[in-house]
Amino acid sequence: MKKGKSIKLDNREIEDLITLARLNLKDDEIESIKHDLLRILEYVENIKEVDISNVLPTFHPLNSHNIQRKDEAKEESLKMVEKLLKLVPKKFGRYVKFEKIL
Amino acid sequence: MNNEILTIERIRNGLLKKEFSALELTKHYLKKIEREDKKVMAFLTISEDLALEQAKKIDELIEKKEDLPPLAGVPCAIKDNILVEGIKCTAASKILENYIAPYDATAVKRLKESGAIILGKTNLDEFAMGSSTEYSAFFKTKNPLDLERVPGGSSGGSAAAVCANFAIFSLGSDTGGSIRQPAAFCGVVGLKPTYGTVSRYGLIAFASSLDQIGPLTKNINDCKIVFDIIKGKDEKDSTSVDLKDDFEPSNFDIKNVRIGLPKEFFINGINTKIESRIKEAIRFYEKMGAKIVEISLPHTRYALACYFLISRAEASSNLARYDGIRYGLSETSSSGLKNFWDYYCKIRGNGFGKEVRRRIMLGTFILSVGFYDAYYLRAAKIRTLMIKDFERAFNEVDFILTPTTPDLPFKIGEKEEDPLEMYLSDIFTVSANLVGLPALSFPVGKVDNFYASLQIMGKWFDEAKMFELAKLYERYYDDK
Repeated sequence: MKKGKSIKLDNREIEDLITLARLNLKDDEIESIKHDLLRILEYVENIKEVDISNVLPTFHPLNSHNIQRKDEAKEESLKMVEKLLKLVPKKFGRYVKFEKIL
Repeated sequence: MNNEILTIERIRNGLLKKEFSALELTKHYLKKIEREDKKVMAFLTISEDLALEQAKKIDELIEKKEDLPPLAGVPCAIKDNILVEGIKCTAASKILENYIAPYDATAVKRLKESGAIILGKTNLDEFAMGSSTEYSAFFKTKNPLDLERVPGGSSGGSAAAVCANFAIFSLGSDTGGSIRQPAAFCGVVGLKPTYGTVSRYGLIAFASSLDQIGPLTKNINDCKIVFDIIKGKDEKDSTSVDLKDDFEPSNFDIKNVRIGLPKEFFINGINTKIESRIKEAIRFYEKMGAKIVEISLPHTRYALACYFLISRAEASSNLARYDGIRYGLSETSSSGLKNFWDYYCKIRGNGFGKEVRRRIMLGTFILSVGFYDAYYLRAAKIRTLMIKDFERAFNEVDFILTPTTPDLPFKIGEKEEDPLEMYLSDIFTVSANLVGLPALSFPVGKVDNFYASLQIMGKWFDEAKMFELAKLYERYYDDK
């Protein structure tokens, strides 16, 4: 396989990426993150030389299959709900409270 | 009390013979940490109340002459990305600075049921992302063997705590070497178990197809004892499996053992003093009757690249959960924020440190349209080829031996600003995570003030055999 062209990212693409990543980055940080990103992408370029035709991907190191359980409430789970609710910063009764989303 | 010579077995005997009580022992360790951890900075949180309460319960059992559980009174430390109920769990991140764990991780639950005493939570690179513990949002942990140097990472606090005798053992987590590399840097034993053998329930996720919890200890026997307690299927982690346990240690005969040395791992650039210690250990096994075979794992040269891509992709998805709404860092005043996205981006921008942001950015990039196939999918396919490499190798050999790290611990600050340099210190460890294999690191000899560590990779689920192989050298080395 041909070696891919070295990656270039312009500021517009970096900004799109920041939006996708849902991160507020400070302006002075954008340059340094861009620099690091390009260095890593350059480092991983060598994977392009591997012949991967007819190879299936591995997403999980052991054979995995879906495991199901009965849909039933356990007392333990109900106690856990109380514990988890304690961690919520803003609440309205037993609801998580937040600003309007739509 | 000289706690340097204590082991799990000696503590048990000491308690039974009433040489000391569990409470005395616990207080001794707490005092030692209070006195000496100012220099090492291994702990983020000390769980004194929990530890004292646990110790009193053990003393009551002794008083009533009841059976003692296997880790009764054994003081331990837990990496701060593993949940201990009621104790702060920060993952060394500002985003979880005040997060109190609502439940026990399964591994922790099993330790508690076995009578272990939890002294506190140890420092790490934020969300376990790093190789030196310098990326902790709170402070840097020092290497107890040389305070100017890093303890390794990300389980740097856990390794330093065992090395400094602040605990008999600790738990760490290993995604690309995060137990083995700090164990090597601090001269202790560290095990990354086969993927699936230890439940990940209650481990704060970094890269779910690579993460495993494992022990750090002072010797192989303690490592085996702790591993046997934390392993096993857990209905709360659907990827956990039961270990087949039909191996009899007395059947282990080194004369029937075939050891593979992968030529791709014995490369230029390994510290020559480390290399000569490793070769000495290999010669020892050969003298004992093991057959030494050179093997090839041809896709090793792509391992680090695949690891970068897969771990960053998984991290960027896993860390999407930190929204500041249900738990963790939050903003009470939402003035000036236009909508939900504004809030979400602000919390994450403020709450995550630079290395975590860097990884989320790379992960997001390689999962985005147009790049997914070229990077993530391609890495996942090379992962398949790596698994085939190892399967082939294990047709010829029983174990694969390599150094754990190419070099000795580096100086604090030396690589902090150069992430790529930092990542390269994991070059020998990432393969075991990608392939899901068990890998054990243990010291095989002194190099200057530090230790050279050997990494044993075994077949999937062959931990028990790896312990026997390691014990042989440990016994020989202790006698020397």
